[in-house]
Amino acid sequence: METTQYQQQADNELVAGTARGDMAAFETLFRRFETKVYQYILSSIHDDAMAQELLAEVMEAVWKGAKTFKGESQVSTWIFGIARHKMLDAIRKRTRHQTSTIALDQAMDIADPRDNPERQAEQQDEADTVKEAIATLSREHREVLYLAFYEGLPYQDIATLIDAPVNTVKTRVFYAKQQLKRALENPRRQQNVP
Amino acid sequence: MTEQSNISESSHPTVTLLPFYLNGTLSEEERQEVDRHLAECESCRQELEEMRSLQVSVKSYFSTLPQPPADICNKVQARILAESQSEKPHTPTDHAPTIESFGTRFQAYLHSIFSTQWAPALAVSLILGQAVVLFWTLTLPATAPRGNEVQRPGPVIERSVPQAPVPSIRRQFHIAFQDKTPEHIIRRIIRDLNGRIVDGPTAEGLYTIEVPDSDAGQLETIIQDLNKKRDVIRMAAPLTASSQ
Repeated sequence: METTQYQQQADNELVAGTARGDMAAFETLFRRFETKVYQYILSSIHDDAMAQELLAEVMEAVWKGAKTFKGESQVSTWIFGIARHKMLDAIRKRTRHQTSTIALDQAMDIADPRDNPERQAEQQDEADTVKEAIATLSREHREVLYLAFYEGLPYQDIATLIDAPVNTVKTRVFYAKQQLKRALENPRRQQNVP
Repeated sequence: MTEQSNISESSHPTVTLLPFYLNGTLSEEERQEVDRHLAECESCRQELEEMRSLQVSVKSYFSTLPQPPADICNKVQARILAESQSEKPHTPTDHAPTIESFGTRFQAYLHSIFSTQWAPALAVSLILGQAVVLFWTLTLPATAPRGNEVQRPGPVIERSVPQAPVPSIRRQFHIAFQDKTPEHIIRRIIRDLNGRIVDGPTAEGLYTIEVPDSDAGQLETIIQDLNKKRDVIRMAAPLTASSQ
């Protein structure tokens, strides 16, 4: 729930308010981006506890760094960039012992009770297939599919975000899509591609 | 799904733009370039349809990822406020959190009550008065009878010095109210808790409230209950180690 008087404000205005120390503006910005950031992190690391901690760290960094935001990129790109930086740090620090994949395992188990059982089973099958196919992708491929197909970011923003040339972004999204298509056509035969 | 894995960027130069054609983020010039190519390339039209279908699946999948916990914003705010307070207590910095409307008004209200010039003198007088009364109470049994009064044997009535009540353990926590929360609601909330303001409001609108409590679990429950009143309370959080 966004703070009422700030609901209509643009992202840039909220960052400016945050830079002035306006906690209400920050809260609105937080509410606006928390799900996006959380799901972005979860799209790469399947650990809900770590994702929660990273989300908190990201938003604290937004609070502290709001004054440095120059408006040269979209606010979403800036915040996703912070999230990515912290996420990659966390991945590097993570021990070999893999934690649970509760979040992703549970993610597709939600079914609408209004559906009839046959349709529900069919949808669940489709969802399971997509889930398994996406799980075979590399983290980089999952990431660009998330950013391009789910968040709908332009390739220029993705390039800024992942610190890669725009042509790399375009080809990476294309090959991620190809990889996903192959995984969907040959379920359970795909290997993780680095 | 159509088999279309052999399409390549070299023979279809706009194929890598298709994801962004689909998400509507291409420039007008790029979009027209893709449109021109699509008009004459069956393979790319198939590729586009295939991509559209995959996009639906991908969106559907990512949309089912879990939501973050509802209280994470409160936790982060509490951390920020506590950090801000411990760094420069009661001193607004150029990046200290502020709640301009309500915080400023309520601070002015408290200031008007407690900052009058006679308040310190009155406080000193009251303390001195209490000290005199206490001294008199303690020393009264030892004083000699005055005048020609005769002391008679009789029942001894012990004049017991009233003992100070055992102080209950009082616990403190931070609270910040929403901008629009009226003062009478704030007073009622604090009264209902049998609490009192022991510090604040800080520049960021943060109060330190003390409540009688003998159990840390009770304080946690109080804070949880307060955090449910999102219409009037921005956040409530225990004091951090640095702010205690």
